[in-house]
Amino acid sequence: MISRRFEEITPEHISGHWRIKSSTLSPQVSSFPLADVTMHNFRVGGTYEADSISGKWHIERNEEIIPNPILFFEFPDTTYSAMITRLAYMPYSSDKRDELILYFSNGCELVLEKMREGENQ
Amino acid sequence: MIRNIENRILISFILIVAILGAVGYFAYKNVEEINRVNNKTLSVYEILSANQEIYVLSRDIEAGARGYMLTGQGEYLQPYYSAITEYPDRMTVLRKVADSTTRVYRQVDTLSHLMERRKSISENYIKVRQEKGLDSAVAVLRIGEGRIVSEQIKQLSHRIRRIEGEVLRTLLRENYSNLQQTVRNLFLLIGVIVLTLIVVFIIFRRDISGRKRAEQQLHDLNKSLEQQVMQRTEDLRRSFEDTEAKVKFRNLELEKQNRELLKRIADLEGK
Repeated sequence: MISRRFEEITPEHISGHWRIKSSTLSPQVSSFPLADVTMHNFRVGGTYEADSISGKWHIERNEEIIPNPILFFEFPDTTYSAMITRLAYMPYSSDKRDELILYFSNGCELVLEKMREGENQ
Repeated sequence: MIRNIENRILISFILIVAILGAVGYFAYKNVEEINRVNNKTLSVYEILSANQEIYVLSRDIEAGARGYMLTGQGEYLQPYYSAITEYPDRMTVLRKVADSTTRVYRQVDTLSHLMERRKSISENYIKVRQEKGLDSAVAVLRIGEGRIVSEQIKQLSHRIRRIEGEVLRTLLRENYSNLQQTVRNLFLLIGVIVLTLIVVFIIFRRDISGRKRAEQQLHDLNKSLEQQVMQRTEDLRRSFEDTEAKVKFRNLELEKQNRELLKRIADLEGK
Protein backbone atom coordinates (compact mmCIF):
# COMPACT_ATOMS: atom_id res chain seq x y z
CA MET A 1 0.00 0.00 0.00
CA ILE A 2 1.22 3.47 -0.85
CA SER A 3 0.24 6.44 1.25
CA ARG A 4 -1.05 9.35 -0.77
CA ARG A 5 0.70 12.63 -0.01
CA PHE A 6 -1.53 14.91 2.08
CA GLU A 7 -1.28 17.83 -0.35
CA GLU A 8 -2.57 15.53 -3.15
CA ILE A 9 -5.75 14.46 -1.32
CA THR A 10 -8.90 15.91 -2.93
CA PRO A 11 -12.66 15.36 -2.24
CA GLU A 12 -12.70 12.96 -5.22
CA HIS A 13 -10.41 10.63 -3.31
CA ILE A 14 -12.76 10.66 -0.32
CA SER A 15 -16.08 10.36 -2.18
CA GLY A 16 -17.60 6.89 -2.34
CA HIS A 17 -18.74 4.13 0.00
CA TRP A 18 -16.50 3.27 2.93
CA ARG A 19 -16.88 0.41 5.37
CA ILE A 20 -15.46 0.44 8.88
CA LYS A 21 -12.55 -1.97 9.08
CA SER A 22 -11.69 -1.19 12.69
CA SER A 23 -12.33 1.48 15.25
CA THR A 24 -10.66 2.66 18.43
CA LEU A 25 -12.67 4.66 20.90
CA SER A 26 -11.14 7.12 23.31
CA PRO A 27 -11.42 6.20 27.04
CA GLN A 28 -13.25 9.48 27.57
CA VAL A 29 -15.91 8.66 24.97
CA SER A 30 -18.47 6.02 25.87
CA SER A 31 -20.17 5.96 22.48
CA PHE A 32 -19.54 7.52 19.12
CA PRO A 33 -22.30 7.39 16.48
CA LEU A 34 -19.93 7.44 13.50
CA ALA A 35 -18.16 4.35 14.86
CA ASP A 36 -21.41 2.40 14.90
CA VAL A 37 -22.27 3.07 11.26
CA THR A 38 -21.97 0.08 8.91
CA MET A 39 -21.40 2.12 5.73
CA HIS A 40 -20.27 5.70 5.23
CA ASN A 41 -21.35 7.26 1.95
CA PHE A 42 -19.48 10.40 0.98
CA ARG A 43 -21.37 11.72 -2.04
CA VAL A 44 -19.83 13.98 -4.61
CA GLY A 45 -21.07 17.49 -3.86
CA GLY A 46 -20.69 17.18 -0.09
CA THR A 47 -23.68 15.12 1.02
CA TYR A 48 -22.97 12.51 3.68
CA GLU A 49 -25.17 9.53 4.42
CA ALA A 50 -24.67 6.72 6.91
CA ASP A 51 -27.49 4.38 7.81
CA SER A 52 -30.12 6.73 9.34
CA ILE A 53 -27.71 9.67 9.73
CA SER A 54 -27.37 12.29 7.02
CA GLY A 55 -25.50 15.55 6.77
CA LYS A 56 -22.72 17.23 4.88
CA TRP A 57 -18.96 16.73 4.59
CA HIS A 58 -16.05 18.81 3.36
CA ILE A 59 -12.30 19.04 3.63
CA GLU A 60 -10.37 21.90 5.15
CA ARG A 61 -6.64 22.52 5.39
CA ASN A 62 -4.54 24.34 7.95
CA GLU A 63 -1.10 23.54 6.59
CA GLU A 64 0.64 26.20 8.66
CA ILE A 65 -0.11 24.15 11.76
CA ILE A 66 -0.55 20.56 10.47
CA PRO A 67 -0.09 19.19 6.95
CA ASN A 68 -2.97 16.69 7.36
CA PRO A 69 -6.29 17.63 5.76
CA ILE A 70 -9.26 17.94 8.16
CA LEU A 71 -12.53 16.23 7.28
CA PHE A 72 -15.66 17.93 8.65
CA PHE A 73 -18.98 16.14 9.25
CA GLU A 74 -21.88 18.55 9.72
CA PHE A 75 -25.18 17.33 11.11
CA PRO A 76 -28.19 19.43 12.13
CA ASP A 77 -27.39 19.24 15.82
CA THR A 78 -23.61 18.65 15.88
CA THR A 79 -20.36 18.79 14.00
CA TYR A 80 -17.43 16.35 14.02
CA SER A 81 -13.97 17.01 12.71
CA ALA A 82 -11.43 14.33 11.86
CA MET A 83 -7.80 14.56 10.81
CA ILE A 84 -6.89 12.34 7.85
CA THR A 85 -3.98 10.33 9.20
CA ARG A 86 -3.63 8.19 6.12
CA LEU A 87 -5.10 7.59 2.71
CA ALA A 88 -3.46 4.54 1.16
CA TYR A 89 -3.96 2.77 -2.18
CA MET A 90 -2.53 -0.07 -4.25
CA PRO A 91 -0.70 1.13 -7.37
CA TYR A 92 -1.80 -2.00 -9.30
CA SER A 93 -4.87 -4.23 -9.43
CA SER A 94 -5.17 -6.15 -6.19
CA ASP A 95 -7.62 -7.57 -3.67
CA LYS A 96 -6.54 -4.87 -1.28
CA ARG A 97 -8.84 -1.88 -1.01
CA ASP A 98 -8.11 1.79 -0.48
CA GLU A 99 -7.72 2.60 3.19
CA LEU A 100 -8.65 5.79 5.01
CA ILE A 101 -7.67 6.45 8.62
CA LEU A 102 -9.52 9.20 10.42
CA TYR A 103 -8.55 10.59 13.81
CA PHE A 104 -11.40 12.48 15.44
CA SER A 105 -11.03 15.43 17.78
CA ASN A 106 -12.64 13.40 20.58
CA GLY A 107 -9.75 10.90 20.37
CA CYS A 108 -11.59 8.18 18.41
CA GLU A 109 -9.93 6.59 15.41
CA LEU A 110 -11.67 4.89 12.50
CA VAL A 111 -10.01 2.75 9.86
CA LEU A 112 -12.22 2.67 6.73
CA GLU A 113 -11.90 0.65 3.57
CA LYS A 114 -13.39 1.71 0.28
CA MET A 115 -16.03 -0.44 -1.39
CA ARG A 116 -15.84 -1.18 -5.09
CA GLU A 117 -18.62 -0.54 -7.63
CA GLY A 118 -21.58 -2.83 -6.91
CA GLU A 119 -20.39 -3.80 -3.43
CA ASN A 120 -22.19 -1.01 -1.60
CA GLN A 121 -25.56 -2.73 -1.58
CA MET B 1 35.86 -23.00 6.31
CA ILE B 2 39.52 -21.95 5.62
CA ARG B 3 40.82 -24.64 7.99
CA ASN B 4 38.71 -27.19 6.12
CA ILE B 5 40.18 -26.12 2.76
CA GLU B 6 43.72 -26.27 4.19
CA ASN B 7 43.10 -29.85 5.39
CA ARG B 8 41.76 -30.85 2.00
CA ILE B 9 44.75 -29.31 0.23
CA LEU B 10 47.09 -31.20 2.59
CA ILE B 11 45.25 -34.49 2.06
CA SER B 12 45.26 -33.97 -1.73
CA PHE B 13 48.98 -33.20 -1.65
CA ILE B 14 49.78 -36.31 0.43
CA LEU B 15 47.59 -38.41 -1.87
CA ILE B 16 49.36 -37.13 -5.00
CA VAL B 17 52.81 -37.70 -3.46
CA ALA B 18 51.84 -41.23 -2.35
CA ILE B 19 50.47 -42.16 -5.77
CA LEU B 20 53.46 -40.66 -7.58
CA GLY B 21 55.79 -42.49 -5.16
CA ALA B 22 54.07 -45.82 -5.82
CA VAL B 23 54.08 -45.33 -9.59
CA GLY B 24 57.70 -44.13 -9.43
CA TYR B 25 58.71 -47.26 -7.46
CA PHE B 26 57.12 -49.56 -10.05
CA ALA B 27 58.66 -47.56 -12.89
CA TYR B 28 62.10 -47.88 -11.23
CA LYS B 29 61.68 -51.63 -10.83
CA ASN B 30 60.60 -51.86 -14.44
CA VAL B 31 63.64 -49.92 -15.67
CA GLU B 32 65.88 -52.17 -13.56
CA GLU B 33 64.33 -55.22 -15.21
CA ILE B 34 64.81 -53.71 -18.68
CA ASN B 35 68.46 -53.06 -17.81
CA ARG B 36 68.94 -56.64 -16.62
CA VAL B 37 67.41 -58.06 -19.82
CA ASN B 38 69.51 -55.71 -21.94
CA ASN B 39 72.74 -56.86 -20.24
CA LYS B 40 71.75 -60.44 -20.74
CA THR B 41 70.94 -59.79 -24.42
CA LEU B 42 74.36 -58.20 -24.85
CA SER B 43 75.99 -61.32 -23.37
CA VAL B 44 74.06 -63.53 -25.78
CA TYR B 45 75.27 -61.43 -28.72
CA GLU B 46 78.85 -61.71 -27.44
CA ILE B 47 78.51 -65.52 -27.13
CA LEU B 48 77.08 -65.75 -30.64
CA SER B 49 79.82 -63.54 -32.04
CA ALA B 50 82.68 -65.38 -30.28
CA ASN B 51 81.20 -68.76 -31.24
CA GLN B 52 81.02 -67.72 -34.89
CA GLU B 53 84.60 -66.41 -34.86
CA ILE B 54 85.94 -69.59 -33.24
CA TYR B 55 84.18 -71.70 -35.86
CA VAL B 56 85.75 -69.60 -38.65
CA LEU B 57 89.17 -69.89 -36.97
CA SER B 58 88.79 -73.68 -36.79
CA ARG B 59 88.18 -73.67 -40.55
CA ASP B 60 91.30 -71.51 -41.03
CA ILE B 61 93.37 -73.97 -38.96
CA GLU B 62 92.14 -76.87 -41.08
CA ALA B 63 92.44 -75.09 -44.44
CA GLY B 64 95.94 -73.67 -43.71
CA ALA B 65 97.36 -77.05 -42.68
CA ARG B 66 95.78 -78.79 -45.65
CA GLY B 67 97.10 -76.19 -48.15
CA TYR B 68 100.65 -76.65 -46.85
CA MET B 69 100.25 -80.40 -46.84
CA LEU B 70 99.30 -80.45 -50.53
CA THR B 71 101.79 -77.80 -51.80
CA GLY B 72 104.62 -77.87 -49.28
CA GLN B 73 104.79 -74.05 -49.54
CA GLY B 74 105.16 -72.10 -46.27
CA GLU B 75 102.84 -69.17 -47.24
CA TYR B 76 99.85 -71.56 -47.08
CA LEU B 77 100.48 -71.82 -43.35
CA GLN B 78 99.68 -68.10 -42.84
CA PRO B 79 95.92 -68.63 -42.03
CA TYR B 80 96.90 -71.50 -39.75
CA TYR B 81 99.33 -69.40 -37.72
CA SER B 82 96.90 -66.47 -37.52
CA ALA B 83 94.11 -68.80 -36.35
CA ILE B 84 96.10 -70.58 -33.65
CA THR B 85 97.26 -67.17 -32.35
CA GLU B 86 93.78 -65.66 -32.27
CA TYR B 87 91.53 -68.48 -31.14
CA PRO B 88 92.77 -68.68 -27.49
CA ASP B 89 91.76 -65.01 -26.99
CA ARG B 90 88.35 -65.66 -28.53
CA MET B 91 87.98 -68.77 -26.37
CA THR B 92 88.84 -66.72 -23.26
CA VAL B 93 86.16 -64.19 -24.17
CA LEU B 94 83.64 -66.97 -24.77
CA ARG B 95 84.46 -68.66 -21.48
CA LYS B 96 84.12 -65.36 -19.66
CA VAL B 97 80.73 -64.54 -21.16
CA ALA B 98 79.36 -68.10 -21.15
CA ASP B 99 79.81 -68.62 -17.42
CA SER B 100 78.17 -71.30 -15.26
CA THR B 101 74.84 -69.40 -15.25
CA THR B 102 74.36 -69.89 -19.00
CA ARG B 103 72.92 -72.90 -20.79
CA VAL B 104 75.97 -73.29 -23.09
CA TYR B 105 78.55 -73.51 -20.30
CA ARG B 106 79.25 -77.22 -20.91
CA GLN B 107 79.20 -76.86 -24.70
CA VAL B 108 81.85 -74.12 -24.51
CA ASP B 109 84.03 -76.41 -22.42
CA THR B 110 83.65 -79.16 -25.03
CA LEU B 111 84.34 -76.68 -27.83
CA SER B 112 87.57 -75.68 -26.13
CA HIS B 113 88.74 -79.31 -26.02
CA LEU B 114 87.73 -79.87 -29.66
CA MET B 115 89.64 -76.76 -30.76
CA GLU B 116 92.75 -78.02 -28.93
CA ARG B 117 92.28 -81.36 -30.66
CA ARG B 118 91.82 -79.65 -34.03
CA LYS B 119 95.01 -77.69 -33.53
CA SER B 120 96.92 -80.81 -32.50
CA ILE B 121 95.76 -82.78 -35.58
CA SER B 122 96.74 -79.95 -37.93
CA GLU B 123 100.14 -79.66 -36.24
CA ASN B 124 100.63 -83.38 -36.84
CA TYR B 125 99.76 -82.99 -40.58
CA ILE B 126 102.33 -80.23 -40.92
CA LYS B 127 104.98 -82.18 -39.01
CA VAL B 128 104.48 -85.35 -41.09
CA ARG B 129 104.53 -83.29 -44.31
CA GLN B 130 107.78 -81.60 -43.26
CA GLU B 131 109.51 -84.76 -42.09
CA LYS B 132 108.09 -87.59 -44.28
CA GLY B 133 106.71 -85.99 -47.40
CA LEU B 134 103.33 -85.73 -49.12
CA ASP B 135 102.45 -89.44 -49.31
CA SER B 136 102.89 -89.98 -45.59
CA ALA B 137 100.85 -86.84 -44.85
CA VAL B 138 98.04 -87.97 -47.18
CA ALA B 139 98.07 -91.35 -45.44
CA VAL B 140 97.61 -89.61 -42.08
CA LEU B 141 94.84 -87.45 -43.58
CA ARG B 142 93.02 -90.50 -44.84
CA ILE B 143 92.64 -91.78 -41.31
CA GLY B 144 89.88 -89.07 -41.15
CA GLU B 145 90.33 -87.93 -37.54
CA GLY B 146 90.63 -84.27 -38.62
CA ARG B 147 87.41 -84.45 -40.59
CA ILE B 148 85.55 -85.99 -37.62
CA VAL B 149 86.79 -83.30 -35.21
CA SER B 150 85.91 -80.54 -37.72
CA GLU B 151 82.42 -81.98 -38.07
CA GLN B 152 82.05 -82.11 -34.28
CA ILE B 153 83.17 -78.46 -34.02
CA LYS B 154 80.66 -77.51 -36.71
CA GLN B 155 77.79 -79.33 -34.99
CA LEU B 156 78.71 -77.96 -31.57
CA SER B 157 78.96 -74.44 -32.94
CA HIS B 158 75.51 -74.81 -34.56
CA ARG B 159 74.13 -76.14 -31.32
CA ILE B 160 75.50 -73.21 -29.33
CA ARG B 161 74.00 -70.84 -31.91
CA ARG B 162 70.60 -72.55 -31.69
CA ILE B 163 70.54 -72.53 -27.88
CA GLU B 164 71.59 -68.91 -27.67
CA GLY B 165 69.11 -68.05 -30.44
CA GLU B 166 66.32 -69.42 -28.26
CA VAL B 167 67.63 -67.47 -25.27
CA LEU B 168 67.78 -64.35 -27.43
CA ARG B 169 64.16 -64.79 -28.56
CA THR B 170 63.05 -65.25 -24.94
CA LEU B 171 64.95 -62.11 -23.92
CA LEU B 172 63.42 -60.12 -26.76
CA ARG B 173 59.96 -61.25 -25.66
CA GLU B 174 60.79 -60.24 -22.09
CA ASN B 175 62.02 -56.90 -23.32
CA TYR B 176 58.85 -56.36 -25.32
CA SER B 177 56.78 -57.29 -22.27
CA ASN B 178 58.80 -54.86 -20.14
CA LEU B 179 58.26 -52.11 -22.68
CA GLN B 180 54.53 -52.82 -22.62
CA GLN B 181 54.63 -52.62 -18.83
CA THR B 182 56.48 -49.30 -19.05
CA VAL B 183 53.85 -47.90 -21.40
CA ARG B 184 51.11 -49.19 -19.06
CA ASN B 185 52.85 -47.50 -16.12
CA LEU B 186 53.07 -44.30 -18.10
CA PHE B 187 49.36 -44.37 -18.91
CA LEU B 188 48.61 -45.26 -15.29
CA LEU B 189 50.68 -42.30 -14.15
CA ILE B 190 48.90 -39.93 -16.55
CA GLY B 191 45.53 -41.38 -15.52
CA VAL B 192 46.28 -41.00 -11.82
CA ILE B 193 47.46 -37.43 -12.30
CA VAL B 194 44.37 -36.52 -14.35
CA LEU B 195 42.09 -38.25 -11.83
CA THR B 196 43.79 -36.50 -8.93
CA LEU B 197 43.46 -33.17 -10.69
CA ILE B 198 39.76 -33.84 -11.31
CA VAL B 199 39.22 -34.81 -7.65
CA VAL B 200 41.11 -31.72 -6.45
CA PHE B 201 39.13 -29.58 -8.89
CA ILE B 202 35.82 -31.02 -7.63
CA ILE B 203 36.87 -30.53 -3.98
CA PHE B 204 37.83 -26.92 -4.60
CA ARG B 205 34.76 -26.26 -6.69
CA ARG B 206 32.52 -27.63 -3.95
CA ASP B 207 34.30 -25.51 -1.38
CA ILE B 208 34.08 -22.43 -3.54
CA SER B 209 30.40 -23.12 -4.37
CA GLY B 210 29.64 -23.65 -0.67
CA ARG B 211 31.45 -20.49 0.26
CA LYS B 212 29.75 -18.52 -2.51
CA ARG B 213 26.38 -19.86 -1.38
CA ALA B 214 27.13 -18.90 2.21
CA GLU B 215 28.29 -15.47 1.09
CA GLN B 216 25.11 -15.04 -0.96
CA GLN B 217 22.99 -16.10 2.01
CA LEU B 218 24.87 -13.66 4.23
CA HIS B 219 24.45 -10.95 1.64
CA ASP B 220 20.70 -11.70 1.34
CA LEU B 221 20.36 -11.72 5.11
CA ASN B 222 22.16 -8.39 5.37
CA LYS B 223 19.94 -6.97 2.65
CA SER B 224 16.84 -8.30 4.41
CA LEU B 225 18.01 -6.86 7.72
CA GLU B 226 18.74 -3.53 6.07
CA GLN B 227 15.27 -3.53 4.56
CA GLN B 228 13.72 -4.45 7.89
CA VAL B 229 15.64 -1.69 9.64
CA MET B 230 14.59 0.79 6.96
CA GLN B 231 10.97 -0.36 7.20
CA ARG B 232 10.99 -0.11 11.01
CA THR B 233 12.61 3.31 10.83
CA GLU B 234 9.99 4.45 8.32
CA ASP B 235 7.19 3.04 10.52
CA LEU B 236 8.60 4.80 13.55
CA ARG B 237 8.98 8.05 11.65
CA ARG B 238 5.41 7.78 10.40
CA SER B 239 4.14 6.85 13.85
CA PHE B 240 5.98 9.82 15.34
CA GLU B 241 4.61 12.16 12.68
CA ASP B 242 1.09 10.78 13.21
CA THR B 243 1.35 11.25 16.95
CA GLU B 244 2.73 14.76 16.50
CA ALA B 245 -0.07 15.58 14.06
CA LYS B 246 -2.70 14.13 16.42
CA VAL B 247 -1.37 16.21 19.31
CA LYS B 248 -1.44 19.34 17.16
CA PHE B 249 -4.91 18.49 15.96
CA ARG B 250 -6.16 17.95 19.48
CA ASN B 251 -4.52 21.22 20.59
CA LEU B 252 -6.16 22.95 17.66
CA GLU B 253 -9.56 21.62 18.71
CA LEU B 254 -8.93 22.53 22.34
CA GLU B 255 -8.00 26.06 21.34
CA LYS B 256 -11.14 26.28 19.26
CA GLN B 257 -13.29 25.00 22.13
CA ASN B 258 -11.47 27.40 24.45
CA ARG B 259 -12.29 30.31 22.20
CA GLU B 260 -15.92 29.27 22.00
CA LEU B 261 -16.07 28.92 25.79
CA LEU B 262 -14.53 32.35 26.35
CA LYS B 263 -16.95 33.83 23.84
CA ARG B 264 -19.90 32.28 25.69
CA ILE B 265 -18.59 33.59 29.04
CA ALA B 266 -18.15 37.02 27.51
CA ASP B 267 -21.69 36.85 26.13
CA LEU B 268 -23.05 35.83 29.53
CA GLU B 269 -21.11 38.59 31.27
CA GLY B 270 -22.41 41.06 28.68
CA LYS B 271 -25.96 40.12 29.47
